[in-house]
This record gives sequence, C-alpha cells and structure tokens, in this order.
Amino acid sequence: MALQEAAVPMLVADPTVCRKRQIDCFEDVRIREQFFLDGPVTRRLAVLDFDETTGALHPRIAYLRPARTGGRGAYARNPDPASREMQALSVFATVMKTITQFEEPEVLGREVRWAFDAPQLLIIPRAGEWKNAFYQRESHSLQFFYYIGDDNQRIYSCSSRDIVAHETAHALLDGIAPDLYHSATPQSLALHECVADMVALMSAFSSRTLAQSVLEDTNGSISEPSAFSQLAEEFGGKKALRSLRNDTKLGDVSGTEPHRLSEVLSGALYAIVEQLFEKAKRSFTPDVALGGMASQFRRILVRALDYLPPGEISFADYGRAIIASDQAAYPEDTTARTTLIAELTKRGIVPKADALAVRTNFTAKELDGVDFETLTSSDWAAYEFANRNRGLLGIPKDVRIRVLPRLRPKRIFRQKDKSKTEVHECLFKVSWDQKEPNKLGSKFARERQITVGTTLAIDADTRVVRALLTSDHRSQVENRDAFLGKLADSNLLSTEEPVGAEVRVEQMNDVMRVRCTARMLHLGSE
Amino acid sequence: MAGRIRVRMYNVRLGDAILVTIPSSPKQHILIDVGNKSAGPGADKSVFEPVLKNIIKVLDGAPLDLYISTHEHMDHVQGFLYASEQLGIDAKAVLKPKYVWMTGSAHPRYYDTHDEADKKLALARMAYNQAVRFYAAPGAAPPSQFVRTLLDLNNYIETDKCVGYLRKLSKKTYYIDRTTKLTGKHALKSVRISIWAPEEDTSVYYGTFQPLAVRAGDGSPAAIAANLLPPQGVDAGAFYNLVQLRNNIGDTLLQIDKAANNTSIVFCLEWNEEAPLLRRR
Repeated sequence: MALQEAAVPMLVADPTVCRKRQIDCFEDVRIREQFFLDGPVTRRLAVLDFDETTGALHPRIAYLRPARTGGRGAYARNPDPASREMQALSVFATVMKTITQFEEPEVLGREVRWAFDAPQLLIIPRAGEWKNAFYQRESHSLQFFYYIGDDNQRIYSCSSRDIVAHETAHALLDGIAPDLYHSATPQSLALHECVADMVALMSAFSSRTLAQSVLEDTNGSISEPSAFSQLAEEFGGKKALRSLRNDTKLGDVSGTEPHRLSEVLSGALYAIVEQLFEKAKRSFTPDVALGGMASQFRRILVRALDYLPPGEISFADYGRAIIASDQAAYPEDTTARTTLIAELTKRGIVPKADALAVRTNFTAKELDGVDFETLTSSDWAAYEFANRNRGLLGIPKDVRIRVLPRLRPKRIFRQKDKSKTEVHECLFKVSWDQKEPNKLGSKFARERQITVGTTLAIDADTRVVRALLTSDHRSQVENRDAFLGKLADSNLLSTEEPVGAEVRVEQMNDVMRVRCTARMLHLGSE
Repeated sequence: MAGRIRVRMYNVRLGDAILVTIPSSPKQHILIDVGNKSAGPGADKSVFEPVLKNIIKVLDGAPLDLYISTHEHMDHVQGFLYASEQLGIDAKAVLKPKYVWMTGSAHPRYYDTHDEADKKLALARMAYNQAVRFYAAPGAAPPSQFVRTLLDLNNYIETDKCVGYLRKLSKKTYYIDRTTKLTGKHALKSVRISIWAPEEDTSVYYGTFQPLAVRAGDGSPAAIAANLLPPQGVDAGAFYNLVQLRNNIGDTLLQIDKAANNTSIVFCLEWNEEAPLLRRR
C-alpha cells in the first residue's frame, strides 16, 4: 500500500523552555503512514482524548484529506496553541516522529513490533490529575497526566516533548527487548530509563528551532546545563528530572533505584555525544555539526538495541552491543567506541577494557549450508538450528530454549566517502531460563528463575557473523539480590493479590520469578 | 532522670491503639486511636475489650490527659463507638478525656470552608460508591480479600458515625493541622509537642488520586464500558481493555485510602531532652 503523508504540528519543547527562549512553540513535521483517520488514528497509533474529569471522549480531530491524490493531508487546527486539540496533535506528531527515528534505514532498518499482540499504541493526552506519565504494556497505551503547579496552573506532561519522546522510547524498547519488562536485574531497568532519556535528548536535537536557540546561548557548546542536558524542565519543576551530563560512577549509586542507576550509563553516553560533536565541529558550523552528530549518535544508540541478547541485561552487555554494532559497520572509525570503553571503565561498569572486547565480522562453519529464508520463516528450522549449535550460541546442555521471531532488517551504512552500503541482516535470538539462589527469606522460594540468551547477527548476503553476544547474567547476581531484597522489604513484591501491586511474583515448586518490574519506571511517580 | 517514658502498643489486629505514659508527677497519659478494621479475617472486634480494660487499669481512675484521633479510617476510629454500643464501656465517662485532638479535616464544617478539598472528597466518595455498586450488582463476582479490606477501611458512612462519637468525647476538642498553635490545647507537663502534618488544605493529598476514569450512565464500571464506543479505526479489543484498566477498582480504592492516610496527624513528642518520634499514618 502506498504511504500517505500529512503535516502535523509538534511542540518544539515544553512551554517553559519556549517562553524562556522566546521561540515559536510549534513546528510542523511530516508523517508518512498507510492511512490517516479522524482522531488522529493511523494503523499504528490512535489518540483517545478522554475528558480528564468525566471520562467521555472528546470529538475526534478531523483529518483534512489532500486536494489531489499524492498530496499532503493535515489535521484541523485550533488557533489556540494551548488547546487540547493542539496538545493531542503534538503528542501524536512526537510519538510518530520518535518511531520514525528508530525505524529509518540508517538506524534499525525495520519496523518495530509492539510488545503487545495488537497493531495500535493508544495515546491518552490528558489521562487525569497525577504528576506522572507512563507507558503501560497491559493497556497498550501511553498515558500523560497533568498536575497543578505552584501558580495554580495546570502543567501537562503531554506538552513536554521530552516526556512524550521518553515514554514512546519505553514502548519502542519494550517491542525490541520485551524481556526487560520482567527483569530482576536493576541495570536492565536502568537501561530502559537511560535509553528513554537519550531518545528524549535526540528529540531535542531534532528540533532545529530549539537547537539554534540553545547553540546561540551557549556559544556552540552542549557541555553546560541547558535544554539539551536537562529533561522535563517544566514537569519536573525547578530542578529537571535527570541530568544527563554527569560524572556519576557505579560505586556512587548506593541504592538500586533504576532512575538513579541510569544516570551512570546516561553520563557515559552523553560523553560520546560531546566527543562526536566536538569532532564534527572541526569540519562544520555548530548547528550543522549538531544535526550530523545527532544522526550518528542515534544510529549508535538504537542499532545496538537490536544486538542485545534476550533476557536480563547489564550495562556491560549494552556496552558490548554498542561496540559490536559500531565495529561491524565502521571498523575504522573508532571515536565512539574508544570514548565508550573509556567511560564504562572509568565509571566502574567494567573492571577493565578487556571486558568489553567483542568479535565481529568473522565466519562460522555452523552457518555453512544454512538457508536464511527458511531459518527466518520456519520455527522448526530455527529450533533445529539452535539445538544443533548450542556450543556456538552458548546454550547449556539440557535446558529448554525459546527461539524468538527472526528479524530481517535492511540497514544502510554511510561510509566516509559518502557512499552507502545496504546490508541485509538476519538477527537470530534464542533465550532460556537459569535458576539461581533466592535470598529473600522464608516467604519466598529458595530459587529464582531468570531469563538469559544469545543474539546472533549475520550478514545474510555474505554469511559473515557481524556479532555474537550472550548475556553476562552471572555478574549481576548480587545486584538482583539487593534489588529484590529492597522490594521485598518495602512490601512491593506481591505473592498474593496482583491488584494494586506494581511488581508481581510467581512461585511454583520453590522457584520464583518476578513479572512487570518495568512498571516501576513511571516517570516522577511519588 | 525521673523514670522512663512508656509506650504501650496494643495488638488490635488491623488497626491501632497506643498509650503513651509520661513519668511526670502525677503521670500523664496520651492515647492515640483505638480501632481496627470492621470486618473480615483478622478484624475481631472482641480485641477491644481487653485493650480498653487495660487502658482503664493503667489510668487508675485518673482522667486521660489527651486523646488523639490521627485520621478518619475505620481501623483507627472504630473502637470507642463499638465499646459504647456493644461492651457498655462509655469512653467519655470512663476515660474522661481532658483534651481531644482530631485531624483538621474531621471538623464538622471543614468542607464548607475548603472548596477544593470538598471537590476532591466528593470525587473520591463517588468513586467509592461506584465500586460498592459494582460489587452489589446482580451476578457480580465477590470482591477479593484485598478489595474487601479497602472497602471496609474506607467506608465513609460508618467512619462518619465513629468520628461523630469521638468529637463528643470532650468539650475541649480541637482540630489539628500543621499550622495549629497548641497553646491552651493540652495540659501536658515537661513535654514539647510539635505538629508536622497534615497540611491545612487536605486537597493536596489527592494529587495522585486517579479516579475511576470513565463515569457515565449509572456510574458502574460495567455500564461505563458499555456506553463508550471505540472511535472509527481504533482496535476495539484494546479500547475496551484500556477503559476497564482505567477503571481498576483496586487501584482506585488504594488512591482513596492513601489520601485519607495522608490527612493523619504527625507529631513529634519531646520529653526530658529526648525525642521519641511518634509518627502516625
């Protein structure tokens, strides 16, 4: 089906930032989709504008079809920029743009499937009064709340582009790495938070209006506190929710609270952002350099997510995934990798650089004779392949395995000479369950079950293995003990009633597993 | 040092009853709440009898110096009315409280003068009533233990009866919030009390209140879901699922419960240069 295009207004930044910087609140974005309906409603998104007090649905925003076939459509606009209609359109545009930034050929090169078994993500711009915003897998939704500020004004989370991009990233990452939703490893949950924060940062970079304003103020620098490094300024009050630019080390974070923990990885990634920007500025003006760097950084950040092994993830696992995906694509440009290795080592995420070493672009005899089309389409063939190659894939003997749907991205890699290479990858992911001692006391089972796995990334044209990554679950046992112990002490691990409990525990035959830990990631929840 | 302060925390199952004895001369006593949940397992009302008898014994005929009702929840307010009606123990006559402190929003005219709090309370009670009607509907499944507990704790009709009884325990009944000046509101010697909470305007405690999101028709969640239709092009199954989740009764009752808990009197009692912190929620 041919794609249609519509122009939709999107808030540049949250209203506080716009007022402070005296910049226009809205900029138009072009969205391409299979169809547009009143709402807005598309194949993959539906905005549901519930009234925050009565619960009734407000009238849908009319879609104005293009005058001629192939033209650009639009949604009816309310002249009041603070109206609920403009909020709804902005949320829709921001979510859609964030999705596009994940899926474009130079990034994932494929469509992300939602973690739930349905086509549409539902968006509620005004879900009610609560200082919160969240992605909820169970209801297939992004829900944005408002609260009453000091001056008695309503502060809407849906008006903050940072927050909308952040929550959308949670939904996208849940589709890419669904096991993280049930993770018992605090670093897995912190990874969710870190990626969401960095995606919000990319959202800020992608606004030329905001970018130019900030760069003018900072004399072309992104290394001081500004709209780029502080998220959700309005919704978070005077102090923004999390500062991305920091020197936090793993040892500094005494607790295991995922938001705080995420700052360690965010700080490491922001260092890459700065490094790439400084390098780009040697050849370009700051605003051009920022745009180019943003694209490069987005590729680094998001592509690696496809290389993550299934199951529980550590920061080091993500570090290896970044290095593998970058090294496979750009073996000679080491800037990002060198910075990342230095940062992860400096911050105590790995004891030394060797821990991040990965093998890329090698041949494996196990792939001889494999028909990738059959491997992709046939579950039987995929299980056969995994069973036969347990050694290659790091699967222990006698464990039962799950082979995930194979992914076939078509990725474009831009080379130094501006030429582009298209690589047809086959991503093969297999997971299994491990048991480990559970030290939560007599109320809980003596063992707990965690999910781990391996991702094998293959160039389907050349049969070269681009990466082979297995989760390093053993390094995180103590962190899981501490994290789950804290939840148990706070009565947040429910073994009985799932109603009202954030984290659910399932126990059978003296084995326990946790579910829905990612619900704890609600932004700014009290 | 003249003796030690003594805190008796009685086991009344789900609820509390706390007696603080200050070793002044003569001894002085502060009693905090006497209540437990009104129904269900672990809510045996007979627990009140030995507790009250012990309190009477400790007082030994002396009047109670201060009674504090922390907040309006059944597990904190139910005991005296029950004792009066079922055990023939009239707390006013037997304990003779000199002063009574109740949380500010327990004042009989509090909501006449606090519009925002009044709106929030009305919303919470509407949601509570929706939940009650939902389970009372013909053919409805019985509530889980968790939901039943929350329904009991937040039964505002029963709570109002108990609070009405407590208001009459003493002619010197005061309604306390963080801004209240305590001079003349107690006669305790050698102690210093400071009030840390609640805020004067309790509407702030409903900030996280996520009401049953959709109300129309007769107000029951089932009717609400039936009254809303998914817009054109929206995945119908997901739409109805979302509406139901937004009407999650357990979560809604938890929000109501939390708001009431947050209206609790929180105070610091300092005695003999020590500060045993008594914090009630």
